[in-house]
Amino acid sequence: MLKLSNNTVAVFIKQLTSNIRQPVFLGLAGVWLVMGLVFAFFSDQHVSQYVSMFMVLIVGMQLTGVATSCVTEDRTTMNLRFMGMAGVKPRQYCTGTFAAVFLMAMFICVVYAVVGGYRGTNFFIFLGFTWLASAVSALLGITMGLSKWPWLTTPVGMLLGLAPMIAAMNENMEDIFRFLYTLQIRRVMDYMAIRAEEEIYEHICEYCGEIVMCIKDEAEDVVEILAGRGMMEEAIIVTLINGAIVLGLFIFMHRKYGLNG
Amino acid sequence: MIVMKDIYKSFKEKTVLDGINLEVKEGEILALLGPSGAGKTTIINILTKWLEADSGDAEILVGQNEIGIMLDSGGLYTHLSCLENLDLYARIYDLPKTRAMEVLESVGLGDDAKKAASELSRGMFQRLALARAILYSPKVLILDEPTSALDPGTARSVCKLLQEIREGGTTIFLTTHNMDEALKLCDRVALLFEGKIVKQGNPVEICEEYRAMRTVPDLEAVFLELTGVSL
Repeated sequence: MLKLSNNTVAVFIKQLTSNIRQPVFLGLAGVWLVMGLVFAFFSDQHVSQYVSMFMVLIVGMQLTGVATSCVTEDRTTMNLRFMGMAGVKPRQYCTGTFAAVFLMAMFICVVYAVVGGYRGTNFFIFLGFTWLASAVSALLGITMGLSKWPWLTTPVGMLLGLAPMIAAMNENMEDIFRFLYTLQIRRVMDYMAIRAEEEIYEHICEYCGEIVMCIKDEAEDVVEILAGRGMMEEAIIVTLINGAIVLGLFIFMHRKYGLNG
Repeated sequence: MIVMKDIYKSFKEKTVLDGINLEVKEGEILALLGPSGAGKTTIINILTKWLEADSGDAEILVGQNEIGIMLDSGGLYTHLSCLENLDLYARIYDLPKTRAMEVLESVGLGDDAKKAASELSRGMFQRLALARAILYSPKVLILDEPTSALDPGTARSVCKLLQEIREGGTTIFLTTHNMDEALKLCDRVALLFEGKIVKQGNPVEICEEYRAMRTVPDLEAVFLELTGVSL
């Protein structure tokens, strides 16, 4: 059984309490969810479309910022140094902070999945992808917080959160941003959002001969191709590679700066 | 317990500490007196290893986790309650659950334990910072202006508390502007001016030496005589 040190638990409780007392993260997630419901009410699109859009913003942009602000708060109040003097190891601090941020993200993802109408296998696929992406974002945020340039979190978060929307407008941009995990998550969620309502068929493309995933239109004689069969695999691989890069950066910052920033 | 030998520190062209030699013995209270910008906080930062001196040795002869620090500002989470602020460190130091409340009561914040730190007055905030510093009964206590924002009554009770802590064997190093406090509380004082210690010793003896013992000892007058500047 995993045994957590007192220090890790103390940091975890503090970060969680801080975020509940200053509910920027949880509050914004709630506001966006309400906005999604309102948009869905006034449009003919399913709520899952809006849920996936806001989920990407939360995971890519908001979560990264929250993780960074947890660290910078401890830096500006000098508590990072006090904790260091009290014997809190950088790894204990980072574990406690990561656990608190990730726990909140997990909770938000579950709420979004339920409200977005994801059921059965879709529910678990949704959670699997969003939790994986949340872990990458939380680690990235902590890494930025430990660095000498925490202000970079805002542009990086904006890039991660907004890239999928920019990519939707331009194919060239999509080719560039497809290496970002947030774009991959968006693609999976878009696919899932449709899948929540429609029956998906595997279909041999008459032009390229490859197996693709598609839905039939009402007349059931025309198929709309949703994605290549390897979409899920690509999304997992890209997210894991992104995660590995962030982990590498984190180890570098952690070793270089510790808790001293 | 605290030793500083030939400490020099400059920030760009400006020399902030110019050959500081200082020693605080075990169980002693030493006050560093000096006007703003004299280098008091720089000394604290060097002692706590938060800042590196250009040259010289600064050492506190106990482990880092046996040093209690109270800063003039910062060090507390304003959105957490007084009790939560202390509980964080009580857990880190593996102290009994009752310890945080016990310390809050000792600094007169027992009734305000559940109040957010942001709702405290400046004086109460300072007492909370002091509570955090003494929470784990450190062997060495470093206090930056511990009574600067307190009313006379509270300042007296804090001084009494510091005396009691000292009687328990804790070495205390503090900075202050309060001459009365330095005279009554401290075994020795060091007068710091423009990065140099211009005088150090027993406060009463210093006053006698400089004939400042009019009706009561007057360290302010000594400082003025030595530096031409009032504190």
